[in-house]
Amino acid sequence: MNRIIYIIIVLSLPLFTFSQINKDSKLSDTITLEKVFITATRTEINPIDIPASISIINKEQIESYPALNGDDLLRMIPGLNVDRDYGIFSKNSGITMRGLNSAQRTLVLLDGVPINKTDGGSIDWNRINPDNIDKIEILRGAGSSVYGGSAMSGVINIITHKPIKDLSGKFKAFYGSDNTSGGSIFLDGSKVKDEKGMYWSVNGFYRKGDGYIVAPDSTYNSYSAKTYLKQYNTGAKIGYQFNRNNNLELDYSYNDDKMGDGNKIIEEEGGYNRYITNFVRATYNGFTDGVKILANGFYQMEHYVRQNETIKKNTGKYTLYNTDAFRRDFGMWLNASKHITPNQNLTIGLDIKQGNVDSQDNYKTSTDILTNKGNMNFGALFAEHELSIFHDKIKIISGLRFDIAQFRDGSFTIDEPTGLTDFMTNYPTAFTNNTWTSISPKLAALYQFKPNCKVYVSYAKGFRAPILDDMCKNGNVTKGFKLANPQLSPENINNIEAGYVFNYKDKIIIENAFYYSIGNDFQYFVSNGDSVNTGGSTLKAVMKRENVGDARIYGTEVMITAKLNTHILLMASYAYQQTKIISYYSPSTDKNLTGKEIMGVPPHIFSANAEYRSKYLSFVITYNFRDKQWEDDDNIAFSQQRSTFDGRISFVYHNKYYISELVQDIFNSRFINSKGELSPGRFLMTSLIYKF
Amino acid sequence: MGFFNTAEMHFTTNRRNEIVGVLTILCILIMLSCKKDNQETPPQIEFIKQIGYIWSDTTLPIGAHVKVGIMASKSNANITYFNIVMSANGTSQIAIDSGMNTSSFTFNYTIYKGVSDVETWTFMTMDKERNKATVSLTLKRSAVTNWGNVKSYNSVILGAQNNTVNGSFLSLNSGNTFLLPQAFLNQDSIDIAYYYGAPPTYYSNTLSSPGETQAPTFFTGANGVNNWNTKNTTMYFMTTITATQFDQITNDSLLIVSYPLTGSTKKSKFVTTGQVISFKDQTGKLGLIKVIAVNGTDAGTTELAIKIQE
Repeated sequence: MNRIIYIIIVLSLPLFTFSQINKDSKLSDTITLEKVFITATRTEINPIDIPASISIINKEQIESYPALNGDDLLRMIPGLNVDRDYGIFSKNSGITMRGLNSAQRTLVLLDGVPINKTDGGSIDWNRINPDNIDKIEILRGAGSSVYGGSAMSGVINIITHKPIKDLSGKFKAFYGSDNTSGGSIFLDGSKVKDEKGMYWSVNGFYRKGDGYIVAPDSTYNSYSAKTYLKQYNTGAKIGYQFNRNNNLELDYSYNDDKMGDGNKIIEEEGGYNRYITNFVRATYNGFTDGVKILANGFYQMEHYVRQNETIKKNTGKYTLYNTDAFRRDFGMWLNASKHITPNQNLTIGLDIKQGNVDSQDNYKTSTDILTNKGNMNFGALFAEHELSIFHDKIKIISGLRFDIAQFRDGSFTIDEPTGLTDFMTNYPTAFTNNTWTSISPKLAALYQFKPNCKVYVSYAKGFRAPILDDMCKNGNVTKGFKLANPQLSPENINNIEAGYVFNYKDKIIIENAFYYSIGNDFQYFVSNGDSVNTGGSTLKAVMKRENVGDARIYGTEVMITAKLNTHILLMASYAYQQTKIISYYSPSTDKNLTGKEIMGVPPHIFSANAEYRSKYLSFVITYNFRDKQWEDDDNIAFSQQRSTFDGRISFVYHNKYYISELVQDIFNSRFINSKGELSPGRFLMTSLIYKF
Repeated sequence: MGFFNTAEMHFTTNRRNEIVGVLTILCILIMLSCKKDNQETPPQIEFIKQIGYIWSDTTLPIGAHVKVGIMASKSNANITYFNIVMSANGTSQIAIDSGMNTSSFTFNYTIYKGVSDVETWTFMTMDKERNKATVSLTLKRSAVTNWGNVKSYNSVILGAQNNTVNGSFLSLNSGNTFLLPQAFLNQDSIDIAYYYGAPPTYYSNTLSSPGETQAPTFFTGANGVNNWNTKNTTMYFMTTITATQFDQITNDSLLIVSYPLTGSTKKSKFVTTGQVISFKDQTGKLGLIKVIAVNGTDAGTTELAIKIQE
């Protein structure tokens, strides 16, 4: 009943707004195309001059798309696979692309600095407030020649808002399905006069929701509980513009999000995952004697807290434990670029970074305490050369990067073991320091056959550093019981691709890329033949991540954008990706994955968006299709196909007051994920916004 | 000039007082808002001091048993763990290891005096904040050991679940076997159940009991174990005792020594001829089973010899 009343109210709100619109309706806003792209070279460059497959999501799209989290926006980008199975109640989201199935293989930058955690390789997308994003740049294909680790399948750069006006602000309140509500404040100002002065912004964001039962009827039991959500997010930015070319900026953000895991036995809050993140970035942009300098310092500290409550099916034994993990990543990225001749630009850079983890599994229903620690130091030098010839019609980019990394001070200890963990003492790990290097070359060329039209070819190498979690932590994983392997080395990929962009008077744009990649030293869990009793209903295979696989991946992506007039934009994108493990060379393994496909990679992804935008109204409807994909390395079980329609309609009054209705999964096509848990289905959210 | 100085001075003083006042209020607010540090008060644990229990150091003959009662309650945080550790001759064994999440509990435990001269029994409880509390007692072995008598069943034939001649259920008290309908009528006395599960899904010839998880899946229907009101549980442990050693048993000394504090299970899987299996029944009586023969089908039989404390 409440839901019906809610829907009626939501549907009636636009009618009120329409009555205001018709008084002085005048269409003026237009859909614009972005002219600057930073992510490809770490310098500003016109997107048409980049010999690579790229995409940009601009501010207007961010404000009008049916996105509740930053990663929702990426669904419209060809080749990107967004895993957010529980919608707004997902503890995290996995973004993958180009046939590579792990979020660790995609580098994510926030204002140009890396936010992939060295411990697990992923990022906490929930901490990215969509209201604070100005633009997202996506570079598909290996990008390690500029960025180093994680840039195997591509790079996503989230660029936050930079204040321009003297004073502006945005206040938002929202309410939606599953009793989800919250609000946000955004204030910023700029005192920059004559290209000199200070600018600032502050923002705060809060949301909470009751969540929903993730257990389907077949597994529902008395311990099934709603996956609730509680999130606080705040940030501040301050910058000073010394002159046109010199700028210093300091950015801080804090996020605290807690999500119920759908189980509640005795503890009031049940099982949950909580991420508390502090992030600081300092950036200097300078220009002296023809040299552009970009210096970034960053510090990210994530405190991950997990409460886990379980009842073992076979024994009825109750277990309660907490995980406290402190994951730090900090470093400094420096690069300088100079036009050494009018048609040649050279960029050189030095990157240093350290990532570490100090994590503890603290059992409450036994005395066991498991502690794992580890550090990874990274250092890198790179150079990139851009050459333009034949009146800028041909552009050649070549680059080379040398990375060195050292794993050190790894440890895994068990204090006060009971029968729950003392079997682990049979598998002691020799934690020796481990150093490895990687050289990542790149060569790419494009030809502009018409203005805003290009054809390009490129070769690039990418790699992913092993993650600390695999190097220094023993523990249960879905497939068995994992042992730490401090001797892991990076995964590598060599990628060649060709593509074109055809632009007909900015009205129809066709972008198409074909790629072929060979991956080496891919990491898989390899069983050592032992099985252990970890307290569950079955014995678990003892395994370790090892560099054992080579893979072949190829595919194509095509995106067609049609701008029918200044108010209507249609977009459709399709990606085909085919993967195969071409060799599997573990000496100790009891299985051979040669010939199998990489799990978690849908062969076909399709999305389409229709967007209407005017001064008083914006309307977006999106369709996303994801083909079935293998859920295990052995290619035995696969997930269902998924297709969803999402939509958002926003009405504007006097360019200050907004009312917005967002619906995800309009047709309520709920699916069951690989964990046997339900998606949320249709989710509505109404927002009231005041801007000045 | 002086006027201005005075005014400026007054202003400065007032301003200073204002600032001091604001700071003082802020400090008070901060202090008030600060949570009190969690006092690390451990949970309370004590022996039950009633007739029928022991709660202090005692001397016992081997094989004698005493009952210990434990009462525990939380201080700050719920109690989440309880264990019993027996230490003797420089080694320790965990006898009970149990997770929970409760404000209080009571627990009764029967200690069977083992062969060691001195045993220290420590009862530990831990709360969610990992605060621990313990009580302990020492059991000394008396100079004179009076081994207990054993009752022997030299040939017990149990049928598997589809055997319509030989019963699958055994009463250790009487030595009688029962088919399912009769066993249903004698639930209180049934201690052992025998079934055959096709490997690898199940565990071939299996000694079990009504209280074991999978027994109801083999004995179904109106009289099925799921419908029993009383489901006794017998715990098993595979030993390395030989058939000859078993045959030479005249008192309960080997029965006591062979049953471990930990490691026993609710079923003994893959039973084969010649094995000697230690057990403890629902009442705490210890025994040994020698497997004389097995005929592994779902309508097959197993022949056992059994010795149990009187």
